[in-house]
Amino acid sequence: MSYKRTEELLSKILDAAAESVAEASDEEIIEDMKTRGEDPIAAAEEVRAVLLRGMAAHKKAIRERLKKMHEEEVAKIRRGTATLPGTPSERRTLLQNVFRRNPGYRQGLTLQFRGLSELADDDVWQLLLQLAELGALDDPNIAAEKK
Amino acid sequence: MDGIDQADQIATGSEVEQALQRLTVPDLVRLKSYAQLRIWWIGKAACGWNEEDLLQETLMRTLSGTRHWPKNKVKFVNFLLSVIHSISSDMARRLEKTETHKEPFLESELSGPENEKASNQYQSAASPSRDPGVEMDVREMVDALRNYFRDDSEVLNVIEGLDGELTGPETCEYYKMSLKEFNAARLRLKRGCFKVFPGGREHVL
Repeated sequence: MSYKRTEELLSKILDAAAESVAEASDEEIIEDMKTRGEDPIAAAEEVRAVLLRGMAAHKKAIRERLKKMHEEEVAKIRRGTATLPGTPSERRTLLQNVFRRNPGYRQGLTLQFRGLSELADDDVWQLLLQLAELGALDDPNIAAEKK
Repeated sequence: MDGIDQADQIATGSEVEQALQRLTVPDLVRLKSYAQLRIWWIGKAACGWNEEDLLQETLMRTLSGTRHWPKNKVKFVNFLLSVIHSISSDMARRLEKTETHKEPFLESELSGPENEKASNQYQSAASPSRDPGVEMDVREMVDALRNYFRDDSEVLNVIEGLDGELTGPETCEYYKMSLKEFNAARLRLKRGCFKVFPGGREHVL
């Protein structure tokens, strides 16, 4: 038999061995393991433990990723909050100053609100956080006005 | 429409988790046997992994969504078997690739002049020569298997059927075997492979 044909035959034998595991009935696969001197119940428990450990590790990784994302979000908000003035009226003034220096921001805002006076204090707070995120409060002149 | 159908068939993370918890004892035994077989099969390409490592990797790829389970088309356990097969085949291919690229960098080749080295590298990549050791190995493996099963006509029939490119049902019909006898013979063939080559294959085909 040629080398190539022998090589192909060996490959087919090994494929057949793999198929025997995939295609055997439940009874045959259990019997096969017993014939090899292994305890099927113990083997099944072993595999189940591996899978459960893996599942737990996966869930832990997701939780850690979410926790990290949450912490980053909180830190971002804190960073923004720390730069904002302490009272609602000061924050409203700051927002007016930002719009005065950057009318473009106001144009975007008027799509949602008619005027600053209609904004609730919480909305002012949120807008300033978003503007801080955009770097709009980093202008030294605005920064000076913040103080 | 196809996209919607496809999305509908891919299991969600929680469906995968539920399916994992519903695996039966025969399913788990099957997974272990298959992972053992594949680790043995790929030999040194397994890089020290055992069946547990292979199962872990299979699970991670499934849970992370690297591999998607088409839940309406394939039984979950069969899907996991296909992932095990694919990971181990990739490992074997990687080793084969590495070894092909390593060939020109043998110490003996590095001792020659620069232009000679370049010529060797080109030659090796373009037309890798057959290692006579591998050839002997493949032939010896088949002979050793036939010899091991010399008293088991059913397994020999399975081997002959494979050599004659017969399908399973054709082998059964030709050699007058029942499907049950055929399946049992294939499982004996698998166990025989482990016994005859306990260390797995030394060379990737």
